[in-house]
Amino acid sequence: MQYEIIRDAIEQLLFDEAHRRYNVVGYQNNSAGLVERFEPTVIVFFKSGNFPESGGTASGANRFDLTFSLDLSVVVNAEGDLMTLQNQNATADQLSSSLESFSNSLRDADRAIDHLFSDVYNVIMDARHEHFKLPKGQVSSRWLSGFTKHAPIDRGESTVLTGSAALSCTVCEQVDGERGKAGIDFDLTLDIADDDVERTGVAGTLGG
Amino acid sequence: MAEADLAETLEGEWALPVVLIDPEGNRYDTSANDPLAPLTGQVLYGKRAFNPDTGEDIFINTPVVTLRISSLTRVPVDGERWGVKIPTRPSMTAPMVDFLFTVRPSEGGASIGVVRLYLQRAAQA
Repeated sequence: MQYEIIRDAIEQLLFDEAHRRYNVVGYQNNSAGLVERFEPTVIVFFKSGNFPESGGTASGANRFDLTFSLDLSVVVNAEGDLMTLQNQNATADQLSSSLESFSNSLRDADRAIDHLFSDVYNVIMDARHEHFKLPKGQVSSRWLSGFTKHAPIDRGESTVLTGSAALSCTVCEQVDGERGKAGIDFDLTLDIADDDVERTGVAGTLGG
Repeated sequence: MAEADLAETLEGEWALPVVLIDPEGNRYDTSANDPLAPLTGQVLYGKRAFNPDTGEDIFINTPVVTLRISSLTRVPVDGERWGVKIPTRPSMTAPMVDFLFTVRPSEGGASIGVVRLYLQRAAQA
């Protein structure tokens, strides 16, 4: 089905445009909050789809509204003057300054995931990527409809922050038919050479 | 359980050395109950879980230190950021590694005489 092509195209687009800013995982993954990832990560997978009855036909093409999930995650450590903190000979003033120098990892994680979403939004919604680098007409109405951050996990060695964005688009699905059976061939060549009576219309016989 | 029992449950056979550094830069590596004894407590390095993708057993680093409040020369209070050194592995002689913790109200255990510290790894900027 078309949506599988779209799924692969979105994953490839995010991968091609990452430029080492984030990693891309192309399947649903339950461990976003469990396993620490040390680089910003985008997990993209097909989440749900809807065939609106008004956009369907009995035996032809059917409109398929797709929703993909983009799960973003960042892992952050507090950064500061660690060398002084590790120095056994550091004075109290130096240690105090060192402790003050460390950033707030919750704030850093919040900023990091905002930045990651900004990167992903700019890739997906770039006008040049309207069709996810597929031929024009294969997919339409791509839209990143929202972004939600989840609660940060800071009861661990590192602070983990995750969020989800929903990407929707529309494709036209055709029923492939029965696998392994050749279809019936029709020759629809029109022969209008004999139409010497009804010259204003098209009449003829099916060839072949 | 009496507070004195913490000398056995937290500072007994399984205890590990801990060094605290308060926001003013003062180091605390001895017990307030016995200045000749090192400051020790319960150090848990992480927890086991399974990776739902692979089914494998994995270990998640979630270092937590539990200390007896009466052994502390200065008790961390809400909102303060402290430094802490714990052994790299469960051994009295292992090299120490630096972490940070910021005290939050939920980490207090004053009613049972302990304070629980959730450590975060510090990185060089």
